[in-house]
This record gives sequence, structure tokens and C-alpha cells, in this order.
Amino acid sequence: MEFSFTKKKIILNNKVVNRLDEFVLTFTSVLDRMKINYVIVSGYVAIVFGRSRATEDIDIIAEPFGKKKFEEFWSGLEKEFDCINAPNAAQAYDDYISQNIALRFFEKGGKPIPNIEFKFPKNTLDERTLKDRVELLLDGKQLFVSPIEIQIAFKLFLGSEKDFEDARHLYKVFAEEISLAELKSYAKLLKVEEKLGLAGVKNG
Amino acid sequence: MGKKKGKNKFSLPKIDLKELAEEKKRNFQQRLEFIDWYVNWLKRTPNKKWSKDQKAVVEQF
Repeated sequence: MEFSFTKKKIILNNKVVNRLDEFVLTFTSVLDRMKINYVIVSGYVAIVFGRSRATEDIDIIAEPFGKKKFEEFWSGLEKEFDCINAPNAAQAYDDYISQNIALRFFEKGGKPIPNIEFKFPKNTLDERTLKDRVELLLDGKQLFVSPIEIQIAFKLFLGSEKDFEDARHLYKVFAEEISLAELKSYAKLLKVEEKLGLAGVKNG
Repeated sequence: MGKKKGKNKFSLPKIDLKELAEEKKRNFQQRLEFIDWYVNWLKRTPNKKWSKDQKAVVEQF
């Protein structure tokens, strides 16, 4: 795996784009058109960096915006996506997204898996993840993903075996690039310091 | 065909829960070791190659 890494940007070239990448890029292209800041978190972050597993959903946190803009966003999505939990923009906004309940979108006329779990920040960690998001360029195609340090610590917090495996994958891939001090700080914040060893952190 | 009384009676096997828990722990440890091995392979494998192999797994759905 060859990549270039800085705190704010990771470049990954020559990756064979799979259907999951295409699905994510189609969704984020609508966010980009609408100038909506977003960050991708959770399993897809491990997968895009080589973890070999499937996933049911891709979690996206977006900077909050109002109902009018949401209606435009919904119109932009409608051509290529169906929403699982709401039939129209008004209901989706009033009953879900503005109430901090995630919306799920899947490929129009396709299968409900994979789907995008789309939400606004629910807590200060979500806000920080959005603020410190990292630009990922896949052969020039732009995505924004969680800082790796936050992602590893949060996976340890989530705590299933799959999450620990994702955390370990990310740590092993980026051990030489990420800030160990930051990773330890986030682990301390989430009270998962004793689990750092599961991610492969020596003396974690 | 008539049922014979007392035949094919359902019964549970005797299990050692401690042994099962240890097996689960060992299995998890082995998966973590596999991730270490896999990432080592990933790191020395060109993006075009690993991502082509990964595509088949990711597109299971």
C-alpha cells in the first residue's frame, strides 16, 4: 500500500474503485454540490484503507443546515437514492434529522444494503471529528474521513470484536504516521486506554 | 408412519462454558494476529493489487 499522509490530507492512488467506493462517491458528490461539510466515520474508514470486509452501512456526519437547504439536498439525492425511513423531505427533516435521528439512504431501486446512515453531529466528539476531518484523495476523487486517531479510539470505545479489529487494522496501517499522543488522549477521553493494546499499541 | 414414544427425544449436550469462553478468546486473538499479518502483506503490496483482491470481498452484497 502506497499513500501520502499529512495531518489534513491522505492521498491514495491506483486503488481499484469498488462498488462501495462508487456508492459513497455518488452520495458525497451531492454533498459537495450543496457545499455541505461532512465527514465519513466508522467501518468505511477502515475499508477504504484496505480492511477486507463488507459493510451494511456507511456513516456520514454533516454540518447541520436548515430545512430549506435540506429540501434542496433531498431533491439532489432523489435521482439516485431512496430513503428508508422517510417518504419526503419535510418528514425526513422534521421527524428525523432535526431530531438527531439518522436517515438511511440506499441506491434507487436497488438493495437496502449497503446504505448511507446520514446524521448531524450528536455530541462534541462528532463535532470535533467534523472540524478535524481529513481530506482523502482517491486518484483525485475527494472524500472527507475522520482523523485516524479519533477513529481508532472510538472503535475501541464501541467495543465489539469487529470494532477492535477495525481499530487494529487502522493502527497497523498508520502506526508510523499518526500522533500516538493524540491517540492516547482520545483513548483517555473515552476511557478506553486499557484497550489500546488490542489495537496493537505497544505498552498501550 | 406412527411416532414411537421416547424415540428422538431432544436433549442438550453437556458443555463446558469456561472452555467455550477460552476458545472464543483464542479465536479473537488469532483474528488479531491475522490482521497484523494481513497489514504487513498490504504494506508491501501495490494499491492496484490489494484493492483488486479486496473488491471481491467488499462487493459481497
